[in-house]
Amino acid sequence: MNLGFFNAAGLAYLATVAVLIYIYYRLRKKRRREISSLILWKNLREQIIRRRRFRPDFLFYLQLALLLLLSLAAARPYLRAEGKSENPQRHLILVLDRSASMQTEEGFRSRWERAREEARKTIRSLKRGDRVTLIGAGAAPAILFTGEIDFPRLEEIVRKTEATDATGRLGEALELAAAAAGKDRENGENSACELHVFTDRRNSGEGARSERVFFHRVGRDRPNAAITALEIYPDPFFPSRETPLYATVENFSRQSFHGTLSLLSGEKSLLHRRLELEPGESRTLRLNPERSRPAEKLVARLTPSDPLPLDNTAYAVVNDSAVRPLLLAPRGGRIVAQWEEISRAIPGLKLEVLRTDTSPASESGGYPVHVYYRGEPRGEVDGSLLLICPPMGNRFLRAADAWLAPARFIDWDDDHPAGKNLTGLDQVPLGGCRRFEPASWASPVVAAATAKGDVAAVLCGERGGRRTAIVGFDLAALDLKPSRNRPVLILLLNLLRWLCGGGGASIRTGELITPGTGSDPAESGGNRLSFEEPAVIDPQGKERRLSEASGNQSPFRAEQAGFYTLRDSGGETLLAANLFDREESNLLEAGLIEEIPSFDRDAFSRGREVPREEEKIFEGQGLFLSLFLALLAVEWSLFSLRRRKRPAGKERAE
Amino acid sequence: MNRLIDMFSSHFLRRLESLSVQSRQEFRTLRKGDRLASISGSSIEFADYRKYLPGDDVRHIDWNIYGRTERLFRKTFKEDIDISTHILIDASRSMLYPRGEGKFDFARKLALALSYACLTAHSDVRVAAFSEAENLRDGEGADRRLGTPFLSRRSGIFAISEYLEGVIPGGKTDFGGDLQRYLGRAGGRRGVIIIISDFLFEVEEARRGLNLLRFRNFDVKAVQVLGPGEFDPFRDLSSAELIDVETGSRKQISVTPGLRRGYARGLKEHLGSLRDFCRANRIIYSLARTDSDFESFVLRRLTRIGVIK
Repeated sequence: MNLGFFNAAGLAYLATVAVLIYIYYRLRKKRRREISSLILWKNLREQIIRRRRFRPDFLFYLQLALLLLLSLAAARPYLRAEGKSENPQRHLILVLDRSASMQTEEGFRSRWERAREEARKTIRSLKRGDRVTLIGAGAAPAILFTGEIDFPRLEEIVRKTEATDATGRLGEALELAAAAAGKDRENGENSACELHVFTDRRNSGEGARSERVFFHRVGRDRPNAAITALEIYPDPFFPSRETPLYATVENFSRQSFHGTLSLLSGEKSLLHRRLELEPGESRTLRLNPERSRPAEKLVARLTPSDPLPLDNTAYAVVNDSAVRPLLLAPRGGRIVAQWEEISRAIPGLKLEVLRTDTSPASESGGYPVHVYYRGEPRGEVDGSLLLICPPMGNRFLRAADAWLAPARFIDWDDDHPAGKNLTGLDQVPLGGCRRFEPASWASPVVAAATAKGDVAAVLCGERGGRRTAIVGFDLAALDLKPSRNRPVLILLLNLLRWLCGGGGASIRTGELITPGTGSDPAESGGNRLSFEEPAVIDPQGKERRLSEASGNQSPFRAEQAGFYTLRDSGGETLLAANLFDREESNLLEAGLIEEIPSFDRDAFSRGREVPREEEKIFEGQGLFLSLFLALLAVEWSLFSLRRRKRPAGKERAE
Repeated sequence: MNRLIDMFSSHFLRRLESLSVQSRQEFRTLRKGDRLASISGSSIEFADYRKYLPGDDVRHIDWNIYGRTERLFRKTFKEDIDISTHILIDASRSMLYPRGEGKFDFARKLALALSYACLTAHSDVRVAAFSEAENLRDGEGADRRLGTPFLSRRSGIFAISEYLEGVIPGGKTDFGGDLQRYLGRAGGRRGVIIIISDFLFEVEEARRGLNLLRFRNFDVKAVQVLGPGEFDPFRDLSSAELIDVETGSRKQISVTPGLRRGYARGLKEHLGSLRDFCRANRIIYSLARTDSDFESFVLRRLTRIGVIK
């Protein structure tokens, strides 16, 4: 028989015994009481009470027993029958899905709480000597525990682990599990691993048990309505105008949705919109609040609430919409003249020309947009970046061909903000275009046809948290005054508008926030933010430094939705983190777990089968709680009796 | 601030108007009152006959008897007397303890109620506080221990009320000495004297003071006022150092069942000694608990034992 505690930390409550003793000690401590006369006490023997301060009575012992029982119940003791020693040890790999959809409330408990309880039951079925690997499948899969079973520690880890507000990467977690199983074989372990997955995704259930893969599905299909996008498009050229917001609401249910979308700034309600959505309908609403201030926190809220409240709230931050693009013109002044004309025509657009002999340090002088013509910045820049005809060997996007002529515009992406209202662009004569090799961070917005095939004339994307656009044709060669070339002017303005607005203020939950200190941001794939002593304040107000005194950088992942504040000695930057994941919000069509491409079922089908032993385990929490309640009743009765007891010496006033 | 008299209900005041302080003794007073005494006096109420002695007023000779018997007899008449009542209230510091149990408030309400009964019966009444405290002086420096003058009009109740409101308990009790000093100040106007005190001093001291009043031919009545905390001082008490608020002497105790029994025994003995002494010396004695109903105590208890009727 083994005796242990699932939550050994609960024994810390034993410290309350000291408090009880202290209270009794204080009660017994010599107190002074003024009385009307000592006449009535004169014949009583004086007792020196200093040595007899602590004299516990029966109630004290009862209260002591109550505290002991409560502490024991909190520690959750168990009694376990010893397993048979001839069986080899088992290795269980538990994968806990920590995705946002696991927060769905079902009845009195959430899917996550149900999954956690299932995991606890599985852990308790193990015996001493078995091995456990616990993997949390959150925004970044992580091994939470591995090694020989340690019930209290595992219990503590499971208790402290929570579902995140981010998209769960179950596939990567299963890869990790398969790797752990593979490592067992490398180490010469004969026994096969068992995989237990606790998720709300569906599974086909094809012979799972024989393959030692067990799916513990929690949750049922539930209706849900969600805000799947919230975008702010401030007009960078006209800062005084209103700041329109675009919120996309989707109805993931089989019934119509009737509700209200509210926009709030702090506690102040800005506007309300009533909504009626058909089943499966998605609608984007334009919300025009009154003039917004820079760095204002806006919250969109969908009511009534539903089983997944997380996606009923979305956050956005209004950015400073002042525009001061920087133009670098290393090759002549033709483009400078062209851009000066544009800046004179558009209020709010300020142009500053950087001379070619300026040092790189002065390039990142706080400009929201940096424009380079036939060149590239020598170092990192703070703002967004527009590269017009960059050199072939630039470090942003490698060019495959020097120049392809002739070329003509053939298509553009209407869905991208830079591709709006370009009707007639295909009629604009294009002298030539450069062909760039595709990159993961950039997507083509405008396409051109050349003799060597179609090429991307304009590419846009977010690179290291900075919006970057690359124009492959020579903009300066085009005269933008004639009306037939007007679509190119609109394209240019669209690009500037897109580059000015929003950049970096909105992130998805689960994204990394790391301080960028000179390394190539493309390598990390996350938002790189350059601060000398960066720290981040999460939505709960907890501050965490991103770099230690030694200079080691620790990544910070935005696992909760809400407003994050990045702070350094220079100031603060607000970030709004949102889920915005249709798959997580759609609680009707949970994906099949077997459809995850990285799921290697075979990794768990090798090795010798270990007979499963049903072990008897007795958990004493219920017993101790029952005893506690019974003793509490006795204590209360005695206490009441003592209070009601007629005091000695009380006589009728006769 | 409400005056003390305002704390009484109109019903209670109406009941008091029908009562008056009773006396077991008859005192010849200069002032004629409403009460007929058995002693001979000058009222028109016939009392008895007695032999004529030289010097008697010839107007009182009964000539009808002389005509029948040829012997001189004179008629005597009953005396209309007035009773002077002294109400003495203990204003020592012990009357403030146990805290919050209102012993002194109870005592001065009782004094006021008895005064009202006297005044409505057209009797003279005088209220005084006794204590060793120097603070029993009013704002003008006058010694409040002198008490009020004798008042007989009903409107005097306001003066008594004001006086009682101004008394702040303090100091020690020297029962015999305080009474002696009072009698010295008050002059020789005898009558009923009502002592309202907690009598939490040595019984011998109480005897000495009460005997002093008896020897001066006062009709003495004693009301002992105690709080519930004096019957059961052990609530929320396990061990403590007790401090006598008047003498400052201290005693350490640790509450045990034996101590509880000892205290109850001591209380019983103290009360019993006082009660027995009063009974043996024709002093009306009553014990009042501050948590008892005040009106019931005055209207039932005090009328039953003959303090008022």
